[in-house]
Amino acid sequence: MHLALATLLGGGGAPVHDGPIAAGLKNFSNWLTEPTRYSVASILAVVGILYFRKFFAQVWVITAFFALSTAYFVFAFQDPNFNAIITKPDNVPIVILFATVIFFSWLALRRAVINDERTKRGEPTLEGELAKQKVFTWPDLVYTELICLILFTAGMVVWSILITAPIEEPAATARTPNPSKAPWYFLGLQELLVYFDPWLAGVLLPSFIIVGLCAIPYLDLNPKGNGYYTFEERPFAIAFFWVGFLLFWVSFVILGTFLRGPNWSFFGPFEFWDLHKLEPMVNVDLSTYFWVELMDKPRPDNPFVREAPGIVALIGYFLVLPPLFGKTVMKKLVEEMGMVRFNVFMHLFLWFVLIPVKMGLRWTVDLKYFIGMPEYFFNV
Amino acid sequence: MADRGDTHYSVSSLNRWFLLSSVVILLATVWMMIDDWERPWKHYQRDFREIEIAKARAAEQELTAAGAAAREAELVKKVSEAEQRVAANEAKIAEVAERQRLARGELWKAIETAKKKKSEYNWDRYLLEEKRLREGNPALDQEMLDETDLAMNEAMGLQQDLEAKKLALDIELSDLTRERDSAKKALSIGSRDLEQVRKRLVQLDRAAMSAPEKVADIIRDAPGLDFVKPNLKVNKVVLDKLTFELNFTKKKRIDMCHTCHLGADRAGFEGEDQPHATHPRLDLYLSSKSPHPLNEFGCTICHRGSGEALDFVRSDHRPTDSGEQAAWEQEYHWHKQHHWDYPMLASEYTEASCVQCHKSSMELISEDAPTVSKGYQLVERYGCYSCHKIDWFPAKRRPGPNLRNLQAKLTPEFVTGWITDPKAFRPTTWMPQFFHIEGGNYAPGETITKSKYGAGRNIEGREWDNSAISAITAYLVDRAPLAAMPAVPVEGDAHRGRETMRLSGCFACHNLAPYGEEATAKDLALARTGGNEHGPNLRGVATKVTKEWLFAWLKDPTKYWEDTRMPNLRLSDQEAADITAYIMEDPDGYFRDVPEGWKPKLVDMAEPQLREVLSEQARWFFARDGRTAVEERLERGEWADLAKLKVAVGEKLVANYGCFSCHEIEGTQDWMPIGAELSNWGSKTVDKLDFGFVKLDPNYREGWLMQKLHAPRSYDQQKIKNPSEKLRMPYFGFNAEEEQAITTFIIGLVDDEVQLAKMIPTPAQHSMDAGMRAVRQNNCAACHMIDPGTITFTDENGLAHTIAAEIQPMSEDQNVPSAHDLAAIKDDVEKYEVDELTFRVLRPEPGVQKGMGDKVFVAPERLVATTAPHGGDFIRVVTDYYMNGIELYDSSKEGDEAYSYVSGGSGDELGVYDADGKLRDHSSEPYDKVRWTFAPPVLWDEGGKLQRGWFFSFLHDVVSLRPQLRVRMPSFRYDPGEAEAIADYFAHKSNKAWPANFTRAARLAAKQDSADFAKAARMDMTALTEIEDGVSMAIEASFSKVLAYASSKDFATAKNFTARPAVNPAYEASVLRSKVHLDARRAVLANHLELGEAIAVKSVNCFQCHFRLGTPPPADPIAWAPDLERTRERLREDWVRDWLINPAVVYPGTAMPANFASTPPQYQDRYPNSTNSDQVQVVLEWLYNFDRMYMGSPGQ
Repeated sequence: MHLALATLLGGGGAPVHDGPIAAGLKNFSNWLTEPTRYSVASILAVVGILYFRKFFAQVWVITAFFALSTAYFVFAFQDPNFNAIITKPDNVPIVILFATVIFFSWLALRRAVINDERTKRGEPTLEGELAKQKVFTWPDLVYTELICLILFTAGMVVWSILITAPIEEPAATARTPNPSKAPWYFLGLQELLVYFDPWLAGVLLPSFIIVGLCAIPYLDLNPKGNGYYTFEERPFAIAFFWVGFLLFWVSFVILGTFLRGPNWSFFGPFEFWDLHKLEPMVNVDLSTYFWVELMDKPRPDNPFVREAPGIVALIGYFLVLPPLFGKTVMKKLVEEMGMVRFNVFMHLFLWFVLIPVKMGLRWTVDLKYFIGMPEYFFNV
Repeated sequence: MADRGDTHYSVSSLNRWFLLSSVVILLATVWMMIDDWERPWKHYQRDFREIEIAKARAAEQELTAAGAAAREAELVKKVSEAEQRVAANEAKIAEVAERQRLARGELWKAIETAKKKKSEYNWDRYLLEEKRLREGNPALDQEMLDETDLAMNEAMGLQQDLEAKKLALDIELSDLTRERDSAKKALSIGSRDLEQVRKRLVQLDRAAMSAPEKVADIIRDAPGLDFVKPNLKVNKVVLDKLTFELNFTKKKRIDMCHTCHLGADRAGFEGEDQPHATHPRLDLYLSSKSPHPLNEFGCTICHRGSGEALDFVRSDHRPTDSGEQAAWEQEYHWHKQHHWDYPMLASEYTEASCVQCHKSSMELISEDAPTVSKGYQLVERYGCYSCHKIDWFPAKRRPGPNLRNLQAKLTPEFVTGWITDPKAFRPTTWMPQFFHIEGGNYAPGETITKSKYGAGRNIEGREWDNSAISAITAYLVDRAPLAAMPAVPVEGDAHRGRETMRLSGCFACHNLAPYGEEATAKDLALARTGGNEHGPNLRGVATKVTKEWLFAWLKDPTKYWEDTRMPNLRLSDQEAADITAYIMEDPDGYFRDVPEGWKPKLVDMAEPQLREVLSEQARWFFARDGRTAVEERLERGEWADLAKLKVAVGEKLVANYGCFSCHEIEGTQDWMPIGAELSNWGSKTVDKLDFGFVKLDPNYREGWLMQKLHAPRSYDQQKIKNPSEKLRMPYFGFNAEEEQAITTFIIGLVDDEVQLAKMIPTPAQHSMDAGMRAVRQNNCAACHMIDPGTITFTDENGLAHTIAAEIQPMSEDQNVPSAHDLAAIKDDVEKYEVDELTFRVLRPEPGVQKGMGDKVFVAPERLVATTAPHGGDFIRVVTDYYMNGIELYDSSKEGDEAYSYVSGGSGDELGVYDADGKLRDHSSEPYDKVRWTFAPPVLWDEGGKLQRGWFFSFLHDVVSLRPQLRVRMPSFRYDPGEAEAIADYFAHKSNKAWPANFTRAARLAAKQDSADFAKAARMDMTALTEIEDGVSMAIEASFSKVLAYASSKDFATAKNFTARPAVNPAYEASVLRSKVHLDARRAVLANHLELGEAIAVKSVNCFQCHFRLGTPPPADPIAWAPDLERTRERLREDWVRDWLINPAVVYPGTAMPANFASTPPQYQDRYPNSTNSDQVQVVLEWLYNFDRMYMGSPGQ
């Protein structure tokens, strides 16, 4: 707990010694991007943007955002440590990803805001209007595609001339690189390994993502928002998507690419990737909290007895919460979906929610595992 | 496409977009091709081609200047003249040529017909054979086959006729054009060199090419087309045997370095800039004749770096200094390749790579790889291996003295002072400093925080270190209880001791070098006569040791320290007592002279304070015993006595700092070394090294090591650590050169994953290497000259010659100038006002046309360089002493007057006590004579001179050959195999093969162990062991059979082979003694032994100078020579024969006269009608049967 607080208040990378303003900005960036703050700030940002969407959907806001970002980028680019990470050839696409994802998310949000207003006024949506018009396959589709193809190819050729592919160490299982980073699109999953055991972060959760994505057409009976942008008609679904995709996928990709260095330690964007940086690692299982701190006893030897608090908590979480919610706050949803769909949805949802819950508990109370049974390789 | 007006996008605008995008992709493609064409390595190859063209042009010009072109023009003229003359016959030639053409046509037709007929015949024959077999009738259809056969024969006959016809026409035609053809041939031979250069130019230089060649050449390297058959292409070698370990598989190394470094393996580009320059050592590397050719070894196995990269930065080039680094960063955007585990070695560390293959031949490569070899020797000398395991390292001896009997030698005060700062007493010691290291563990102002129990107080660094020293002293003293040394049995005489010490050889290993850098002239004079660094500097030693210990040590060093390198000089009690007296009384002021500031004393701390600090140290180092237990011991229990506390803490400190690794300390035998293993340190990737807060940019392993050696504890700086966790490596005070040498060696210690091409030494290399190591470790070269020095001079034609030679004294009373210093020789020339320097040739060199011992006169200005002889410094010291006494310096006087000489024995005379106890003055003898008589012998061809078995036994059990020598061959304590190695080494050096090596060679070749070999060779194991150990009898008697076995490697050849000789082998070793030989000789010349005796004793009188069965010769000791009785078991016959014929050829300058050199031959009264060689032969036979003549030995 004290460690988490300490990291929230101070820490977040070795201090930078520059000019006072530059140093202040850099130190603030390093401070802000510390994973706890980074995640909390990201959640707050998503919630804030969606809540104040009318403000954020304005063109000048995004223009100002990109202008400020560019200025910051230009400033940051002068810093050798930032520069080294950003200009690494295989990190360049992530910089592009950063800009494009933000832009297209903003675009969707803007259109959603416009559409919602139009709907209020009783007008058809933007996409609805467009859908009435027809165009020819040739030239409007195929010809433009051809031109795009050519320009894209030319772009790739130029890219390959200007930025040479990185050569890393010979691939040897006996001598793995440090850090062993996943391909960029899996870096979000790799971030989860900080909080979960591999069988969860690497096997179960990705499986649930795939199963969940496959299940959407069967779970989602709401016809609204089909073929057009909207927020107000589907606030939960869209917020869920923003959190799930932008936060837990894209922003973790960025975190993993730019801010995770040797030993998977966190490094601020202006921090030198020091191999010897140490991270405090004193996480404690739930069973310790229960038996040692609460009951003031040594932990029982039998792992099932020892882990009983966690087992009970998790069983409660997965088995008690769905019927409880179904009977109370989600009564309407159960009626719409039926019990089977509701239960499937609730379990997927609860697994999803478990991620921020566990992260929060890690940051606040240094929780290692709900259930820690290394005897059976079963840690949750 | 027309714009229909009903599309969403305007078609013409789309067309424009299409045009634009097409142009963009076209430009991108062109850019891509140019980018490829512009790759840096192609630039380098183009540049190299320019250099080659320039070189070829220069060569062409040179040849032209040397008249080649004129000669060529003349030959061309002759060709055209011949052509004109031949042209007169043009009609005739044309006619013959036409007939020849027709004949060729006919012949071609005939050949084709004959071929066809032959195949028809073969086909028919096959069909007929098959038909006959099928129908069972062996005579079927013979006439049909005959018919085809006839047709074939006719066709072949026609072919032969036409061949003859064509041949006749060929001859006719060539007769007609002969004149022209031979002129052309003469032209092609006469202008061959020029033609080669031109061919080269036509290949390289577009200006020299014909138009189509030029176009082809341009197209070959044109952008976009250069994938077909370009001139500019990637060169690579694939190295099957040199592999990377990759995922448990072995990946072949691929080196492409010579894509840019085109000139690396070719001579002639020495002066070019990189990457075009020739490798500086083509004799050793890259060229096909060198031991490391390019296509077998590549580049990265030595230089490391990424061999498959074609880019300057990617291949991980390495700047030599920060200046170059900055320049490279500017020019190439250079940066370290963080993902390449084995970055290129900076050139000063490249020798590290030698170690990976040459672990078993480190001595052999010492000349070609001086840095790594020095590092290896430093690691051996400083004993790095005793704290840091190095698994293959051959030396395992503890580098520090045994401390089990410490108190007999030293006082606790000395021990404390010594541990505090060893260099304060002896600046040249290799004992490192553990405490009070500035910037290291505990700086004086630093505090050590109180222990984790919180019971003590924070302690200042100096207090901490002083208490630790006090504790270690107490522990060492405790472990070495005082055992009273026996008193010196006889009274010593200091003056006699001085002479004995000077003359018995002490200063071959020890020196009396002055302290510090401000050495006085007197000190330098002393250093000149004692510059050796093998043993410790003896200055101040009388203040260190006790008299009784010193006497016992001189008598037998191994009694005190079994592993010491100090040999036993077999001093008598009197001699040892004399030396002891000389050292302890110190009349010359060396042995009580200690550096300023040195004062042995116990740690100066009040008892309560000392107790407090020690208690705190106990809390730290006894932490494992538990807090309560430690506190109990401190307060009430066993540590109430401060002495006990000191010993207890001292033990922990000795364990912590690893004192026991270098010194043998009672009770610590089983403790484990404290350092990190270095066996494969060079394979450690840089990310596994803790640089602490020391910023090294870029960070390389070498830098880490250099820093570690320079400031061993600097990686602790600014780190918060417990005292028991702190770095422990002591400060050795290496200079930059030594740090670099050691670093180079350690970097070379890689494990096999880097490469698998181990060098397997031949038995000869193996024994040479082992021998060189033994010679170095036992410091043989201090006394003996192992190899002569060389001089390089230019002759009248300006050609440089290098010969093995030594300088002759310029006048009779002058000493031989040292060849060590060319400048000094030139000074001597001025001093003695001679026009020429005289050198004696010690090994003949063809170009000089001088034999052994001949004189070469060289004017000083023609002398280019000299190299020092290997070893023999002590010869000069001894000879000087005999001639001049000891040089002393009186600083109150100036110039030459300040120097005086004092002899050992009396005060005034320049005399030396000889072995017979008489004082003799040799100051008026010629230098050479004194040198050959009294100084240690030279060993130029010792293997060719001595029988190996005798050599071996002599090393083990030294006998006195020249009793007049005061200098003596010490008795060394050899490690197993060392004495054999020395004997083998000298034998190999003289190209003498020995059974011991053959048995080893045979064993290795047949991959057998000793037992198998002995069985196969039908010898018993003892005999084999004796052969391999070099026991003389087995060797000499078994030589031929072992040789036969070894050369055949075939067990059958070795049948009937037994190693046990029938007669006493010690006396039957030589051919000249064998029954077969003697019987044959007696048949021809019955009294040959008597004849030999008559010549040797009555005419030449060998016994005038040589000992006879232990009886000293009547001559003055300066002429004494070894006992002739030893010849038969000691010397090789060939050598003795050469020696008798002309001793000066063997040892130029020797006093032995050439007794058999005159024409006509002498001694006809003793041996009528004999030639010189007849006389030598009978004398040889007499020498080798000396025992039979005088001792009644077996075999008579």
